[in-house]
Amino acid sequence: MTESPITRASLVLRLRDRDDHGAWGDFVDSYGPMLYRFIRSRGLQDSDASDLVQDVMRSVGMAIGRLDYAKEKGGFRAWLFTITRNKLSTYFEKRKRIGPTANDTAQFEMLGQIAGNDELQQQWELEHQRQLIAQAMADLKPTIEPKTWSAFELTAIEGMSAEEAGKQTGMSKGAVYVARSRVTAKLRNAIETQINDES
Amino acid sequence: MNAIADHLSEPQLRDLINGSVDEQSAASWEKHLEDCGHCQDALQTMATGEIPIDSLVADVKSLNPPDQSAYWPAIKAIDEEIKTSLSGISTSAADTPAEGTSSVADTDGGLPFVPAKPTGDLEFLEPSDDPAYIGKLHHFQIARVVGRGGMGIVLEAFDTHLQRSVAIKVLNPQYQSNDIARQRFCREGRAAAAIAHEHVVSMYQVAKAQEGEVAYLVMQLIDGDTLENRLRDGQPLPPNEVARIAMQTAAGLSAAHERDMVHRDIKPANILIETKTDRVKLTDFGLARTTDDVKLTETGMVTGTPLYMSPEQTLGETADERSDLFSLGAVMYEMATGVAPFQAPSALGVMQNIMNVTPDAPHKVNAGITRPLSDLIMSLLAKKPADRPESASSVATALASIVNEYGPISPLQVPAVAASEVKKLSGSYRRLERRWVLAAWLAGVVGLLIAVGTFIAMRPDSGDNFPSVVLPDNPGTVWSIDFAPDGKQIAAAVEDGSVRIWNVADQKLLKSFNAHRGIVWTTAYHPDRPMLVTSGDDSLVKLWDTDTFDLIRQWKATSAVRGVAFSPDGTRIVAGDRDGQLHVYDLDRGEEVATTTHEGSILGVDYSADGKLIASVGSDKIVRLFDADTLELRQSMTGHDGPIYNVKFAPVGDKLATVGWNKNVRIWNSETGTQTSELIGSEGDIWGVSFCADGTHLVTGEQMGAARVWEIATGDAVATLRGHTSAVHNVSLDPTAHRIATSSRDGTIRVWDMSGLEP
Repeated sequence: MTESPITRASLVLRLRDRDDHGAWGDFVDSYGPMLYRFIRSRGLQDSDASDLVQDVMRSVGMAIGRLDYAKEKGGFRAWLFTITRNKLSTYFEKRKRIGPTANDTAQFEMLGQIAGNDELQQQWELEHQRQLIAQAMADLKPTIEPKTWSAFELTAIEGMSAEEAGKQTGMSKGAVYVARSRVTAKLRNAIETQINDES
Repeated sequence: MNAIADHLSEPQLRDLINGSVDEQSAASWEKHLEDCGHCQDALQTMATGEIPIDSLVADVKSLNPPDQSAYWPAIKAIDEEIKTSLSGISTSAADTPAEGTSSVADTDGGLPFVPAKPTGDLEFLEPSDDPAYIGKLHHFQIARVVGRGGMGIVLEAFDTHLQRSVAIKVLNPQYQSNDIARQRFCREGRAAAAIAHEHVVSMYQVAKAQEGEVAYLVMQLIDGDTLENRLRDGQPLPPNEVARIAMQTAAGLSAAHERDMVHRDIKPANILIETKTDRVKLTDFGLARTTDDVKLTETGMVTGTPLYMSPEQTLGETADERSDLFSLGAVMYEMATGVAPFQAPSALGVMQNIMNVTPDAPHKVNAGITRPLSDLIMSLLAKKPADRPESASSVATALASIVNEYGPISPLQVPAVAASEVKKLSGSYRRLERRWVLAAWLAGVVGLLIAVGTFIAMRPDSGDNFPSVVLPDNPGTVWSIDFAPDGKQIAAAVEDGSVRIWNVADQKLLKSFNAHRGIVWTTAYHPDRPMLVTSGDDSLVKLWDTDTFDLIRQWKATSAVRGVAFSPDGTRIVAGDRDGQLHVYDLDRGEEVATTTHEGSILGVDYSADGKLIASVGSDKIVRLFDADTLELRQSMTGHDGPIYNVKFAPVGDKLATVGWNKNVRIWNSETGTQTSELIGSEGDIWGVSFCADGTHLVTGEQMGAARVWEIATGDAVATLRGHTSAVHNVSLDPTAHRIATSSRDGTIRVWDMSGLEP
């Protein structure tokens, strides 16, 4: 068994432990890029998205101590999603108000009561899975025979054909296919464990 | 080459992936993989499973923000900020016990959290102690601002008492100080709270407008879109959508008009469309009145959008029900053509157009709009109130028939309209008839009058008094129910994709699990084994273990499966799908053993008591009997004048019963293929049917919410069970006691004690 990557639960516990300064760094490393990608996917420019990530992180940093994360809100990730969504919502709201058409829209727009949509949630899940896969790859790599890993990396990430990858690694074509499937299955395993841990 | 015969088996592929294979076999299998695309794919597919590992991995290179991104300095800054505060707290906490200081040191030793004080026009909120929320208002945690308008602010909030999400509408601070506006806001809110209708957003609570406190309304949070957004691109909607949305809006309006409430501000922004159900929800009843008078007195001008205002409103006259109808017409016009009928560059121009201009009829602007729909819209846009159709319910009814013209619609989509509006119908229709002289659809008008009879409740009897218990709060329409063979539990198939198992004795929910994507249409217990079958909109038929609720097996039909039944000996399942295809599955072998296709969609199937026949009914009005083994057609019986919604064989003898559209309850002889009787006296369409154990009585479930018990020999209804507030979709009889379960569109199941019924 490989050691499991930071689970959400342990990360939250560690974040609450004020002597564990590494936990904060781990949080930033694993959730930062995910937040950035998610926010960019909403159409924000690089600088605005970076500001918003910063905002979300500040909120997390300041409140993590009082978060009873497991209780009713569906866990840390759901809480993080709520924070992020609300920051986004505030951002768009503000932009709408200062925008040139603000007066017109205020005139023509009455009060709707529309909640968030599924698409947002799906995007969030997708970015989360990407984050998990990156983490899982980093964790798995040292446990796997280097030639097998190269065969996987060349075909799955670099998009090489099995034949080319075989030439480069000195493996047969069939062995390359097998190598790729083995690493894929291990990644899948790691991700499924993570997802199951959370639900 | 002979690749096909040599394909690697699943266990072989699995061994390869796990590495649990000797070197020699591995080498030969790898050799096979060199040239076999099929096995290459199979190998990778098995490795991947349900998570899209391949595409996730392929993206992995671009996961981090680019090097020159502002992300990196931003992260560095926040990192330092947090780390400083971390160490700062540790030292200060260690050196000086932070007593009485302003720092909000957390008791269980975390980081400090200083709740931010909401600012701007949200100043009335108290700070929330959870940063996921932007503030607090009494026991509501405020998540975000959903919208701002002339009247106030709409917030999404979490009700911490009732643990649910709600929408809160807060009167604009500029009016909070105006007592008249505040009082009116609350009064209108209270009036709106009296409207309970499927096409009106529910009002939950009106906060008291006490001195110094903000006035606000708490209402249902709708996950969906506004009609305004749907119209944003200036394109017309599909004609059937125009009719459907308008029909449901008119129905919602009729509920308000019945209570003498005028909406006064019908416009696309106030018409919400729920994402999951596509159902229309009308909001903001009467609220326009809150601020209009104030604005008028302050500025002498009517503000807000006049695009959908009636001529009498632009003149500042009192708006009545027919003023709402004009606005509905204007909204319909925009849906039908993509442009608002009285558009002009300025508000004043719009008002002048409303007074003086008659727009081109929609069917001339958009050829896709039929004449009846176009004429109806133009009649709503009549300048004089007296020339418009008389009531919202008559408009809803007219639209129901127009919707029908676009294809068969489920009666479910036809909303209930207020009963007290019935009396007004004749007058309005005479007028409509005058207006719509075209002979071609005089027939349609007659159809309307029939339709009115169908779905407006005219309840001749008050219902018998049989006691019932309620299994409440199922998340949506309960399409199907079944008593377990021991009579202790009931399985329920719910619209949201879940299946619920209820314990009848104490009305406790024992289990709820996600069974299908989309609607679960049916559920049935196996006659003797601990199994349950379910079918859904996702085309799947699933067999569950009722001890563990593990999935035992599943089969994929070609489309949504609305009819499923076990064979009496419990070895087979018959399923009928929307494409008219019947499937017979063998439970133990897991195979499909027979299949055939007929016209129309299948809505109900059943096995005869001796297991020799299968009956199939559906949209094409024909009752078909098939040989259960070969699926050869044995009988084809006609008589229904609309879709047939369900079928049941009697537990003994040759009888079978079918129910369906327009009060049809028919009894047939399966041997001769003839109709033996028709049971008269139902209200509306009939959805559910079941025989009692000796085949002498029949129970039916009706569109208007009643269930009825019939004595077949005399054809009399011997009992009427009333209690559901909406259509009864399924009925099931307790195999062990005199109890009937009914499931309804109102989200409840009722279990009726029939022991008081004289035999």
